[in-house]
Amino acid sequence: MNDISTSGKNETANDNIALRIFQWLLVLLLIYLLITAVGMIGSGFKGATKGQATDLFAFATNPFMGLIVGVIATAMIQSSSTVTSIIVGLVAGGLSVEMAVPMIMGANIGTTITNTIVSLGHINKKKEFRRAFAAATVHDFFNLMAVAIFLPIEIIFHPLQKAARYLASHFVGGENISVKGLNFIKPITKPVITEFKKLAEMIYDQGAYILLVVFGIVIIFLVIIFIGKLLKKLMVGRAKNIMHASIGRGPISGITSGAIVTVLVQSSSTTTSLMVPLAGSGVFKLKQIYPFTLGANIGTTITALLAATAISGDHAMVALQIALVHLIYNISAVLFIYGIKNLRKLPIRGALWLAAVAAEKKLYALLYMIGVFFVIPGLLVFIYQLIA
Amino acid sequence: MENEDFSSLSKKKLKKLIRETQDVLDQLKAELKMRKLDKRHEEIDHLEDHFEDAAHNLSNLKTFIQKVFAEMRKDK
Repeated sequence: MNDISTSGKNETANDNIALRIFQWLLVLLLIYLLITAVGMIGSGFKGATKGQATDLFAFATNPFMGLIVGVIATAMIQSSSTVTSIIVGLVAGGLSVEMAVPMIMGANIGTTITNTIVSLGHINKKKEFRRAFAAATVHDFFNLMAVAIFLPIEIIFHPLQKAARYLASHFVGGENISVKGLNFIKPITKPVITEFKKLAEMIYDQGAYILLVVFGIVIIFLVIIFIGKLLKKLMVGRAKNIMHASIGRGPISGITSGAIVTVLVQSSSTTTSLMVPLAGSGVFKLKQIYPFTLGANIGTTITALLAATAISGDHAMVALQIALVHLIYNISAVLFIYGIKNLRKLPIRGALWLAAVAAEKKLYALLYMIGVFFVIPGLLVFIYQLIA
Repeated sequence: MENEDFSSLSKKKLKKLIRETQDVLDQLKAELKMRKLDKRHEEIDHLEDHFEDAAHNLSNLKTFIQKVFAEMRKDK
């Protein structure tokens, strides 16, 4: 009897190992597809615009327009990883880094809508909703503040672009130096890109490049969804260990664990949404949730960095530059806003105030969401169109 | 305790009482802190459930909008 049960257990254990190996192979395949899709966007965009990508995005020469594009696109598809990967592809296809920086900042704001929607699930209990909504919107306030501080500085002095360019030149080798170091990616992605290009030509020859961009966007979108689901299953144990280890420690530990968990699940929305029920139950205070959320901002930049490895050749440098802008921007925002005591408190105060108002009258929560993520950006677009 | 008269106590006794009370207070604080931390660890143990909850955000939005309209009708 014992032998039977032992062999049964062994079989189950073997099945689990086989399943895990299969899931990890699937993750690798999805990463490969992500990199390939970014390459598709780069190649398609370059071909479609014939080197005049900046003309196509002429409307985004105004940095505020770029910001709005980033906010709305991310809020609609609820994934900053998808949007930043697409931006990396577009930059590789010729979009200027200067135009792409506000879009990246906008993606940071747009992604905060997801955890705000998650907090709405606590609507039936007033106190719980108040705590959950504050935990969600502290991320919004922080990211809005970061843009308010860093975007004007970036427009005038370009510190993010300069720092990212400096770092990228060390990895890629600078403008005049060959980028052979990253050329191993091209041989493995090129065959698939070529096949998709042929498929696009078969479907619609004249618009094949545009179709290639569309294929790339759809693949990135699907990859991010599936990889998120898979990694949640695979990484939940590690995420638990990291979070257990950070409990009762200081904010630096919170930021670090937030960043690591986000890297593990490849989604800042998942990490920040995870914090909402923990805050809603009252077990975690807003002060403890806040650093973890900031870590998510830093951790999410891994996807754009991964996407940048897809690009080789002349545009490898700028692709890595925009991915590094995302990383440097988020680290600087945390250091600057969280590092200064008076600034650090502002997102908490804003979130607590808004949550108190929204708990009393739910309509305000709805107006806030529609206003911040859609109406205000939409109005700004409209006003800009009128002026232009 | 409020009405207790400490005026008869010597300075030494008072200091001893303060020390003892402080010790008890520290122990109580430590116990409270430990219970809070335990509760947090318990919540983290249910991380899978929280992942699940976070995935149903669109149904949350639908329920929320219904609630907002219900609240508006009530206010009228």
